[in-house]
Amino acid sequence: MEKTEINAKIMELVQEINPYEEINESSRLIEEAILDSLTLVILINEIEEFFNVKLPEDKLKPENFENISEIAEMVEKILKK
Amino acid sequence: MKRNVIEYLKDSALRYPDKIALKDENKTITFKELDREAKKVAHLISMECGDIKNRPVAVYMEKSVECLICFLGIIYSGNFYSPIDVKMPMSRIEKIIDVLQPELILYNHSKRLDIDYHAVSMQETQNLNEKEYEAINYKNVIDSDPVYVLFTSGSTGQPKGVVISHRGVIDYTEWLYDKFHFDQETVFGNQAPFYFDNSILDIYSTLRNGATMNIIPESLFLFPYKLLTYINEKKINTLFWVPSALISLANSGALSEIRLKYVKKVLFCGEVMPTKQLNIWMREYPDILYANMYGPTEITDVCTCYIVDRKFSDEESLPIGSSCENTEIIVLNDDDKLVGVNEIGELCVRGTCLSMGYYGDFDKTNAVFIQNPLNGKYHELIYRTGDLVKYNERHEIVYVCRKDNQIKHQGYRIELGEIETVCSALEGIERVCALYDEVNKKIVLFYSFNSKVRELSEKEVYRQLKQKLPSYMLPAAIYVKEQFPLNINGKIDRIELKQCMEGRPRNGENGN
Repeated sequence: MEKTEINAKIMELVQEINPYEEINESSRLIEEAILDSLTLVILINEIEEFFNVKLPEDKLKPENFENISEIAEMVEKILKK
Repeated sequence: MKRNVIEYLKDSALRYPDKIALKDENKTITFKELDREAKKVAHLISMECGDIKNRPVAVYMEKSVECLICFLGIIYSGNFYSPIDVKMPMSRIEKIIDVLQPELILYNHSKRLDIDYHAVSMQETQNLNEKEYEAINYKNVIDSDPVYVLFTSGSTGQPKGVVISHRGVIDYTEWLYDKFHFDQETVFGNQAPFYFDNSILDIYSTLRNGATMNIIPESLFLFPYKLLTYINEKKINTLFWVPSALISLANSGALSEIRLKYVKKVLFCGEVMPTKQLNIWMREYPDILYANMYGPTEITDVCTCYIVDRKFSDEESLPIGSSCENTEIIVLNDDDKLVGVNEIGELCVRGTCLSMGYYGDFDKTNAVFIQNPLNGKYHELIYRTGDLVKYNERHEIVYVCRKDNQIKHQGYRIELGEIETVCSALEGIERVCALYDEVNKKIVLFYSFNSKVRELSEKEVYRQLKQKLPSYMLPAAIYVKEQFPLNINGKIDRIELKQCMEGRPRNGENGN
């Protein structure tokens, strides 16, 4: 899967969780409280289900969820393995 | 006898000068350094404002060691502090400043407040020589004078500034010591934001007992594994958290996978702690001491406490226990008489812990800080919390619900009326009602608009609310409702509307 496709899908998932927010690739998801502890869990589940991967614990850290591109990059790396 | 909280810092600076007092991601500070830095801030304030006493000084800063240095500097200067959260929307900050009219706003270089007001960066203290200033102004303050003002949600859209005295904080901090025996070995893992009064326990118990306070980076609370690893790395042994933070750890499953090595005490306050998640903690860590505390900002953080001493089923509710030392709880029914066992009444508080009311608002103050109806002989105030409770057979107090539209969401106290007031003010809005979905833990907003004025999409309403409300007050679901159900008085029928809400699917869990 291409990076741009992954990006688009993750954008879609985040938008579904928070349908009212104006979000772009570099929106600071945690800093701006677009995601909170409840919705982050939902997002992780959705990512795991859609991409059929398990996000390992050591990847679950603030740096990897800063914005849409960071999440996509992490998912891309895991998919390549 | 202590009469100013700054004496806690002075004592610890003498007894444990080189011990680490406070720690955040960027800075670590000993008691001696903290005392010195705080005095420099006091010096800066006197240079900026002259000789002022018992006046408000605001701190606009990210949660940090520096922020705490400012609080203590303000106290050293003989004045009282009020934190302003850097993430708060501008319109709310303006309202707070309008109520508080601080003499000065302290900020640091990374965040400058974008308004025209008397403000100074705390970095200015770097050029000051500590020897030039003798920090003695605090001695002119008496123990019934204010130490801080914390702003909380107000239903009319105007945040209320709760004024707390030195005596209130000292009374509370001494009780905490007697109850929990904090000491130099205590390492607090601070979760509470400084504009939330749970932080009062962390801050003043650290100062009083020569303990260490570790400010946990906020973003870690979204990542349970990281958070647990951090707690171990920093050798944190005491947590005083809002239940939401403990619940997400329990639900994540991480508690059984990463062992907490040092934690001995887990205290919580701010909202109802569900026994289901408490049981997960207790199964994993049966030897930890758990305490359920209760209290609104108006009575200095906490007024009742229950140390968990027995097992609860997942369906039972956890008692909030009995009153703290030197505080009395009276539970009054609709006739202002004391309730019997299992009779529901309003929890009222009397004691030193009582706030001096809402800053600059005697009307709101007089509505809830009232003469004790059980005492017709002399002046005695009680605070009516608006929380409905009852006594169980063991004579423990059990929380039932609110008597108004105040809610607790992620531990934050929110007046649904404040969300409604802000939303009603948007151009084109006709009617609006905010409700809380207890099951899915989210704020739901219904509105109707006048299409002759303008079309108003859910997204547009959200966008505008975001400019006026803090993020924890933003609705997670917004619906246009052309016809609101009304009750016989012509008011919106909240109960019927709540049923509309319950029929709706949850975001992110449908549509796949």
